[in-house]
Amino acid sequence: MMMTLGDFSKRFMRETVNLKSRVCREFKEFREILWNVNRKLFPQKKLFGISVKGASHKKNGIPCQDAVFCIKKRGFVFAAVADGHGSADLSDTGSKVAVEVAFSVLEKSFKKLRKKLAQNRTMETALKDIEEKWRRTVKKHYLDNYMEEAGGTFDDAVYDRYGTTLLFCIVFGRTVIASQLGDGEIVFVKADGETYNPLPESSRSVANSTESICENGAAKNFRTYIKTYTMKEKNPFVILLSTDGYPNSFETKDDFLQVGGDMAQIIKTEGFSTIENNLEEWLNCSSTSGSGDDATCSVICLGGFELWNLK
Amino acid sequence: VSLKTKKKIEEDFMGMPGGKMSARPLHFFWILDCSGSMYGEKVGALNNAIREALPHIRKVADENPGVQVYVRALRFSNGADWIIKDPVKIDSFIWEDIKINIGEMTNLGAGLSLLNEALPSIPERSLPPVIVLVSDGQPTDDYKTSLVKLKQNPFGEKAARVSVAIGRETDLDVLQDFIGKESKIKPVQANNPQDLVEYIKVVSTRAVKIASQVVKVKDVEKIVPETVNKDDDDTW
Repeated sequence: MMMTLGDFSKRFMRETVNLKSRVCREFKEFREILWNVNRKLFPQKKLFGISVKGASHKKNGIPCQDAVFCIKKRGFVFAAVADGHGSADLSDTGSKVAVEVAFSVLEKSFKKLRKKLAQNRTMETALKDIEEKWRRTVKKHYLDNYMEEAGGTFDDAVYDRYGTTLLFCIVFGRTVIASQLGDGEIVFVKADGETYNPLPESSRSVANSTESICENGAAKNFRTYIKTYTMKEKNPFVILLSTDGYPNSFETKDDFLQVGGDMAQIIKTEGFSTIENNLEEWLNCSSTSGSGDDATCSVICLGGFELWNLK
Repeated sequence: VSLKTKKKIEEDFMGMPGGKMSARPLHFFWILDCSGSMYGEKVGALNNAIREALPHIRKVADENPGVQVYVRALRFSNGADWIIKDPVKIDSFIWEDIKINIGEMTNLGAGLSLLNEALPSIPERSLPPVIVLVSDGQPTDDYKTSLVKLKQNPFGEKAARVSVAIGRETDLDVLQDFIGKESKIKPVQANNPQDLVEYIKVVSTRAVKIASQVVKVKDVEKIVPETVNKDDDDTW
């Protein structure tokens, strides 16, 4: 039976459509498989953080002056912790403002941060922006809430009442940026449990003294670490950020650094959910048995990041 | 947490990640003048005052669960030596009366020098130390060099430095120099045994209280007692 040109044309079109839809379906299935393999081999970065009120703060009716901010956005993960000064009566607000401001500034700077050659310059600008925005925000908070006390004027000494430290970390692609102002600890943990501080120690963080964001020119006191890891380099498996209430609960610095190794071990054997379920209790126990101060810890697990080292 | 991991955590991590935990140390130093002029009633009153102050310091320490107070004491006269060299927990601290040798000098510089030797042993995570200087006279040696060194040490600089003068012959400028010339804290002057007991108690406990709470050192300005006894009861 002869096929007319019209029939042939119709059949050709139908077959083409069928083929196209089959290719699409198979491509989708292939993509799904690839995605699952990717998830297995390169688990997604995970992060969690929490603040607990210190044992002495509970006893004396003082609010928790620590703050924490963790977020996973498209393209990066960000964590920040801050410790409002004990002597500053509005430092609980100051610390919350600090972590939020740090996020908003870095989110805005993210595109520039991705350009490797511009990272140092972008961070310098970002830190200045964080300082300025923090000052603007707390000033507004003070004028909005303490107008009568202020008597319509604003004295720079008011910034001291909001004083706080600030530690944050942003991870995107193979790049890690960590920055710290004042006391507290940023600890990197390798997959084998080895821990180290990527930042130099501050000479001013002794006997309860610390640098603060409330100081003029605070931006220049940030200690910053920027590193884009290559495939061959051993990069951190876990990053811990904590306010000083947590490390101060341990007898020695090594006792605290062991937290990093232990957490890496727990993540590997039990999964990240064990950290999420237990961190609050661990911090509460540490404050009760240790410093009595507010304690905050944020844990970033870079997961598959580390697997790049496998050959 | 699975049973296996729980057991491992309990065994390896003592229940939690990390090593050994403990309260933050707060080191308390008595720097006591044991020159010849302290002989008699003054040293008796000083012994009594320190003994009376101890339960109050213990109470403050108990109120701050995150703090463990360690006490040391040194004396200076012709030279300087430790009365209690190794830090003793306030809970187990017992004061044994000090004795005075007639005719000995007031070598404050030697006392501060001995203190300077002890400061580097303070653990890094410690709270600012409390240093209480008690004296009834004028230094007979060069104290300034040792004082400069004390203030150059991070813990010496941040310490809650307070002083109690016994009697009117004490050189208050020296005690102010010890505290810090620009400081709003002033030396307190006890002119009778009752004042001495009260001032040693108040100054010591307030200094511990301020240093114990996680606050800035500038708040030590609140250490000095507000009230001073009337001159009527003066015996020194």
